[in-house]
Amino acid sequence: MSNRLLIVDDAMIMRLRIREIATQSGWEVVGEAASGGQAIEMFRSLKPDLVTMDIVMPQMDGVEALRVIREEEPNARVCMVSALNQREKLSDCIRLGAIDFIVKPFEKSRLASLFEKQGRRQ
Amino acid sequence: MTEDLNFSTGMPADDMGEYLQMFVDETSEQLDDLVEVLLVLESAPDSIGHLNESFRLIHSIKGAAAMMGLDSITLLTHHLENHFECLRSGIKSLDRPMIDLILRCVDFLRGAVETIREGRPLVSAPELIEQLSNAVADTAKPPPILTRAVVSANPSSEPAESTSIVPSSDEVHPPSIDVQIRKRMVIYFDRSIDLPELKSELILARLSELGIVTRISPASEELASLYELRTLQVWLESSSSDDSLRIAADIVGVDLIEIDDCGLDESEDSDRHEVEHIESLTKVESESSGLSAASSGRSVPVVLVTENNAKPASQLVEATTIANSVDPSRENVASSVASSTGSEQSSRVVETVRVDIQRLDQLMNLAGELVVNRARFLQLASQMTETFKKSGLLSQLRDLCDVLREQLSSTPLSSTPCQELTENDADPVGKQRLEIQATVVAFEEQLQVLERGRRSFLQLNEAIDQFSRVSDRLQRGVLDTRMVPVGPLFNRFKRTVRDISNELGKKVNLVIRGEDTELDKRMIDELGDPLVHLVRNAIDHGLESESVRRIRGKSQEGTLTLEAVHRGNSVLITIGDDGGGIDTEKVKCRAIERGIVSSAEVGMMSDYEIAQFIWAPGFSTADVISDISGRGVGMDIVKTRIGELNGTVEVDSTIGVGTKFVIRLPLTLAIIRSLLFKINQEIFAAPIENVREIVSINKRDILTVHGRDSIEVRGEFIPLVRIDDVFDWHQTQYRYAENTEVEADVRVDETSALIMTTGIKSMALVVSELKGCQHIVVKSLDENFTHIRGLAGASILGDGSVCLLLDVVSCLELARQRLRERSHHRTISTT
Repeated sequence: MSNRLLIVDDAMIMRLRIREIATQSGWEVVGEAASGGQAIEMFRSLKPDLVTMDIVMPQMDGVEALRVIREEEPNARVCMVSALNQREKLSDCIRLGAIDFIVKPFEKSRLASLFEKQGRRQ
Repeated sequence: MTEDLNFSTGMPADDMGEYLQMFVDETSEQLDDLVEVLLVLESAPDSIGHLNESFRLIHSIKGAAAMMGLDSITLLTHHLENHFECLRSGIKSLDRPMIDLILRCVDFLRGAVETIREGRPLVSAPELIEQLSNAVADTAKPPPILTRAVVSANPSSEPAESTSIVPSSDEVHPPSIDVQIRKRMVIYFDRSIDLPELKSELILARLSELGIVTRISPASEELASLYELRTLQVWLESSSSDDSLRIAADIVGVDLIEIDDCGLDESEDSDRHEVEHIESLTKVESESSGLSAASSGRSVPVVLVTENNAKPASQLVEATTIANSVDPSRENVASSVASSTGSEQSSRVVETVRVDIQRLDQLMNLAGELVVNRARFLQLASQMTETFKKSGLLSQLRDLCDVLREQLSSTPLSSTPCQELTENDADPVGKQRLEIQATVVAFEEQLQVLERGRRSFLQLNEAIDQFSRVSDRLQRGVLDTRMVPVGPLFNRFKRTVRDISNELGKKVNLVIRGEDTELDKRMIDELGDPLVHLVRNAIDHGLESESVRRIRGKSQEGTLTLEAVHRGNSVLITIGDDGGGIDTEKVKCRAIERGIVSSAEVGMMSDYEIAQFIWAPGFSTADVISDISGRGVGMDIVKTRIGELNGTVEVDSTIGVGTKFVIRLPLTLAIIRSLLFKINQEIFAAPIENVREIVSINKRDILTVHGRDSIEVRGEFIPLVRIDDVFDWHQTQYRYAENTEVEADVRVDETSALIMTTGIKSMALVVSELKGCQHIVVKSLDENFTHIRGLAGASILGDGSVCLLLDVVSCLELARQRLRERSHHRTISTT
């Protein structure tokens, strides 16, 4: 069974890019969410192996979503995907238990490396 | 800052071509949203919600642009983002000049997006960035500015390497659990990882879950000041296996991990301070309960250096060269279907598919072909109906056969003796009888074939009906996919109106209605310019200045209305103002002055007709030509542009009350429901929207009003025109047709007339024969032929013949013009 990924980003272009790379890395994208709230709901119902989480999103941001997800599922694996200037928030995310982070704009190999590294841990 | 300005602009990264269209679409939408939020902020500059929203939108655009490698957009949005960061944190407040600057940036971005859409290379906006930077620099504490250039300026600086080798004098932290083994991990990073101090922080946080970190090198304070980090050494006590430690530390950016056990003695020199820090880190980590807890752990070093998005200089150059060689045609490749693979929830976000409009055009064309085919089928079927019509004849024939057979068998062959028959082979009666018998059999067989054919034909009819229904639905479905609401288009005018009203010092209240009305995407795209022109015109010429409005007893604030409504198969877009209306006297003078019309002609014209001169090329009523509404070249172009969309635009104005421009657009450009009719043996079509009614007229019903033929329909006098009043025919082929048909037209007292309307004006067109209503697929005449005024295009009918589609508005104008000239001639000749 392939690894199951939930993509969270408010920009469709980002979701598609991540989906493309994930699929090429042999992951199954089980869902896409465009806001923190959606991410939480979809996390509950889909129970993905990994979540890629944007930070700046409308309504509920990625930090808050991470907090809720980690509270509900302490083993949840969430990788933040964020711009460089969000380092304060990234730092918060690390404390909240994000397993990794990737800085936007990312090179394909960076993200592929995430899927490769996380895929091995199944 | 100078590094910023030299920053490479350029075309998107090569492998991102397929995302280009999506980037363009998404960014356009985000820019539209941004303008709306900015306009709200203009009146409520402290609204934190809107500030956050602006920040988010800019951030999102930046992210996408960075991914696409569109550096000039990334750079500008980055500066914008910094600016909003200041605004959000209250360091700076949003004032008018700032909003103007930001809006100029938005304009630049919009232009940039357009440029990308057209596949041209981007230019940068150094002056905007400089202005933004200056504005940010004014503030007390400028936020860090991201520049890749900073990194390339110090490409050789790798302080991490040197410090990592030097062990710091740290103190031992005694193990709390006995079985813990001391280990040293050396973590090698990839070249140029982003945010190395955060990566280190992450690794430490993860390792802290498995054990107690006693020492790190470089030390956390040093980590904060690094440009680049190549190795990180961690000493820790842990009961976990090497593998689980490896897994914990193996995050993105980590190249290699070495783990070796080390003696107790080595950890003797752990720094107490370091341990305290790590403890606090561990503590916070264990309380994964919330941000409040997280923020209490502020002892984690905070990096305040210039952040680096480290990319080696060589790579930078490479990216630029690739960017410059991007094939612009890639832009077209842009339909991405994000199919949902998971459960139902996963499809929630993936509700839309962005499709290249050209593909939709293709689909539309195919659907159009299908419509033509359907018409052909219907026509063939109706021709066959005669053949397979259920009539008494078939059963009569069958009866006849029965009778014949009976006759042949019952009429005694015996009347002629057998012998004679055999003897005389040439017996004509017997032979004939046999022949008849054979014929009857063949006849009956043929009848059966016919009967079967009739049944098949009935089934064929059913199939055609089914086919019609499906093609109808397909056509509608394709149409629907092209439909987008006019809201975003209208909302863009909030900005336009704001700018113009500021510039002219007029207060304008923009009222937008019917934003949900949907229109073909292509039309929305094409409609922008004409609408801008009409809106500018309305504010500049339509609305009076405040003082004049006061004198006239109107509210100081002028009202401009943008409205869209559905009317059958068309959409009406109204641009209305409550200004002074069109001054027909002025128009009259100007029209004579410009030689558009003679004073004698003008005398006979109604106010409505005079107002139409505003559409004439080179007409302008503004006393002083202003920058806002151009130099009087606009209105005719507006009309042409809308005409190109098979739409019409009309003006209705009342002095002192206001002016209203009504644009009527078909829902689609390609397929039009039309009424077909015959004039002079030629088939014409008129969009059904433009046909108000069909009346039957008698010769004696025709009245002469002001020297023109008219008919009276329920008390209304409508000018009666013939096709000759609209078009000039080439003499060759039409002579013949005219001779026969027109004469017939005269001879027959009773004839039909179509009352065609443009919404405001009507005319009755004499037709020879009505052919019925049909969807026709319009093909442009301009493409293969030449533009003919009065014709909107041509279509191929089911039987392969060509019909011409009338452009009713032009026809009305042409007819009016001709009749005016004619009556003018008549007046001259009689005097």
